[in-house]
Amino acid sequence: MDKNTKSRVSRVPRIIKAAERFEVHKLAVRPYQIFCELFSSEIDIPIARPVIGKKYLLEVVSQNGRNLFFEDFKLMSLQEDKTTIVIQKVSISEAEVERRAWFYLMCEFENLKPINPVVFEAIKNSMPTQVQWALFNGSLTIQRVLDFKNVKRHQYNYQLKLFRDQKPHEIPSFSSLIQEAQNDIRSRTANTDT
Amino acid sequence: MTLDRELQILIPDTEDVYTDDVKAFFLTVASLVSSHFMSIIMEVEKPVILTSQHLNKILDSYQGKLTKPEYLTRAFIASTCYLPVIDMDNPSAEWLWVAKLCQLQIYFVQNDLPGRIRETTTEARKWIDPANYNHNLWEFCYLELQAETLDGMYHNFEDHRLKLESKNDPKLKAFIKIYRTIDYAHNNKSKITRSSSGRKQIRKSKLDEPKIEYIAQSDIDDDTDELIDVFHFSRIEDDVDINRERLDDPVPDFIFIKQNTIKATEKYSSNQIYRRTRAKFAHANKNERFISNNIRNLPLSAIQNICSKLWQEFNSFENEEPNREKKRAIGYLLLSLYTGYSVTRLAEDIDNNEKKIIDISTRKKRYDFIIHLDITPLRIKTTGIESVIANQLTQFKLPLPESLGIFLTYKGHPDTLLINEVIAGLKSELELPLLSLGRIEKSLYTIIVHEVSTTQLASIITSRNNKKRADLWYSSHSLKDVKDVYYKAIKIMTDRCQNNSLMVIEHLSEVELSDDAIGSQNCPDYPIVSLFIKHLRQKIVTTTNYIEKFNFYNLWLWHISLLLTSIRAVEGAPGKLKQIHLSIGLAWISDKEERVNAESQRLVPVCAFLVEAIQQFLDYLQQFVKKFGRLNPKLKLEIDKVLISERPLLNYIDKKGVFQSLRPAIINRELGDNFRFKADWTRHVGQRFLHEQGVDEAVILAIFGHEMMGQEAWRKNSSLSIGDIILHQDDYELLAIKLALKQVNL
Repeated sequence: MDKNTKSRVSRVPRIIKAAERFEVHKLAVRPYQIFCELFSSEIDIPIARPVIGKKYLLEVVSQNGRNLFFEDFKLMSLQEDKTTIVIQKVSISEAEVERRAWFYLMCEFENLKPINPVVFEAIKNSMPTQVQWALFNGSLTIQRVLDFKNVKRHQYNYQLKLFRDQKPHEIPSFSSLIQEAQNDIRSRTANTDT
Repeated sequence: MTLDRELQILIPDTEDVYTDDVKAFFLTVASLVSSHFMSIIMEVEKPVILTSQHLNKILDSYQGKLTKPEYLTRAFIASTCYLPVIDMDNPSAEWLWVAKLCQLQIYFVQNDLPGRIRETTTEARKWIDPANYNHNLWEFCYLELQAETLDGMYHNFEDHRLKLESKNDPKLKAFIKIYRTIDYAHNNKSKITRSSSGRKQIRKSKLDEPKIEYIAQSDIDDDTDELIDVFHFSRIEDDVDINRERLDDPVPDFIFIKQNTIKATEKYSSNQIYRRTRAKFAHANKNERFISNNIRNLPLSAIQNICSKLWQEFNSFENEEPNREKKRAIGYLLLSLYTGYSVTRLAEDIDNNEKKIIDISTRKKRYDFIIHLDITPLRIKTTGIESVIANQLTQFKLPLPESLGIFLTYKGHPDTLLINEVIAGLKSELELPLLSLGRIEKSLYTIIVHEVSTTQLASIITSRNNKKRADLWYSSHSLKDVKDVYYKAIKIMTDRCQNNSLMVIEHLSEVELSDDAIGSQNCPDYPIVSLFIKHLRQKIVTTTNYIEKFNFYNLWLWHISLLLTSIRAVEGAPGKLKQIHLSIGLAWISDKEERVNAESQRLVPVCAFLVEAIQQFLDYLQQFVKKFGRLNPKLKLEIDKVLISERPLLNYIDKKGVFQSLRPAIINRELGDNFRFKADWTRHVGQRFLHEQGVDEAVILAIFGHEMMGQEAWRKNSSLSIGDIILHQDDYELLAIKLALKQVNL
């Protein structure tokens, strides 16, 4: 079956276990990583997502016997190994895979309220140019997102200001740590004195 | 009076472009103080005032040559850039103080004291900086100790020095530097000249000379019989002696022992001596530590009787000849009772004026016993470290009874024959046939161990066993605690000293000590630990990259688990998941590298905070696999190994994506610049805290893995049960509260 995938991809949906050789497509790695690192704290992920009863089809690409997904990161980042997923193998070009992966991420991003500038920066810096052209017919700018969501620029600027201070924490050097500890002790003794 | 000559010496001409400015400013500042101070008349035609910015520029231009002799005074003057601009009509106290230091320098030039110029300028330059650790001392000098005249100032300084000295204050070391400046000027001291001309002494190596060496037994931990009397040392033919290479510790330095008979060869072969000594150490150790019915230890009542009898005899003899030598023998026995050191060691120390154990000063009328605990070979040198370590001192002094001290000022070596005579007298009078010098020397240790406190404090006070105890390495004790223990022990010992019992201990009851502590200098104080862990936690929460986040979470849990179990920082600590029983709160630990085998384990308590932290970490691992396992299947494989205990619990993903078990080298690489304490600092904090909580010493030894081989808590030979260990979860929980630890809560 692997030999001539393009012509003989099985179009029939199959039910497989999530544990079975299920990986992210190599062109969807970056969007998936951004999603897992930055989105999970942003969106409310329902703890038990009803899989049964809802007809849900996940399109995957098959390669060397492995199933490579490129969409629906939300579902995939929550899958237990035991749960079952309905998949359908598709044969699409790599460009298509890449485009769809980023498109999925953009959709999730646009669902965020309010717009998270950190996530935007991460997407903007990682999205390949050809995908940007394919999706937006031009490069990705915040203005496009704002127009799409019908959000005023000043609202975004406000968010930007909020997030500017939230840089990753740096552990101070040893001498500044000592300084900080000294100040702490001093302020504490000052408090007890008064 | 022109001061051109003095000025030329203080600030000699160099290529420095600011020379004229600095000279003029020096004179201007020095003239702030009138000749009342120390009769130096200053005349300045036109005052030159430099601004802070200008001074700062000058100081910057001196960087890299601050300690060169011709720049010392320049740098000092330039460092006044930290002060507000001088007001000539109404100078501030600080400027007046600087002016006085300038005048003192002129005095030092006139009296040829270059050492004083160097010390005064160097220290003043450093202390004037508000960021310096000693800046508050500097403030204290100009605000409190400064006076109109040199005489008045000297008295202020002298009073303050005495105050610091009596409190064993760690600031004394710094204060004495500036004190010397005043002391030399006031007391017209001349400079100290040394007969030797520097370090280079062309002397032949000792190894080349044949010599005869006398070896006396001075280590109290050895048995009372003398191991070896006299050795013959002589040269060997071809300078090769394989045995010599093997001897590192306690065996004497020698090349070759003259061997006439085969018997002598056996008896005095270096190997044999080495083995015998080691065996004796081990034997003494095993038999004495916790056993109260050991015949080597005198019963309490016997010690009390001996002490009382010795005082009686001591007081009955005159200080003058012919009885002085007999009195000296008694005095040394008493001194041994009061210090726990051997008579030989004490005599060496007092005779050679080494001041390692006893400090006798006739001039100051002080007779002190020095308690010494210097256990940190490598100290951290970062500026300001003093304020964040738990123990600043390595030694402090406690007074000895005055009559004993006064007598000891008569120099002389105690006569062994007379000492034996005194002991023989005690034997017959007190009916103690087994009495020996060794038993008397061990009395203080015995009292502390059995009646007052822990073996650790007993070792610190008497130095007994202190080279063999691993737990001393981690110890921290406040001066007051040590003093209390010593006081109680002396009180018990002198209990039967009739009439003079009050006199014998009152010298101790009046001692006032500072709030400092002696012990490990690698023990961070609680606030900085708390702060460091807080930063580490903050780092995990704010990091987004999944590998970095994983690594920092592991680093955090490493520190938390080491802090809350006091295990050693070894590769893979605290072990695999299956070694930790989360519901009972107990972990099997095997962290001793030297005897890694199935029997070298021990149990440590796992407190509630740590249980929760581990559980949250396990949840995190599962989440981590679920999300990122799809990015990299290897992650899933490795984390599964963690969960089924094939890998240690804590890991680090390196740049190539390979899992490494967490080890000190990685901690050092990742956090070495943020927290420079040696990897096992958590044990130092842990032991300090447990001792402060009053946890039983045997349990602390058990938790720290300092028990004798084969006597670990879980073995049948141990009197400790698992319950004893579990019980101390609560103490570690208190430590978590004390350090304000918080869960990560991702």
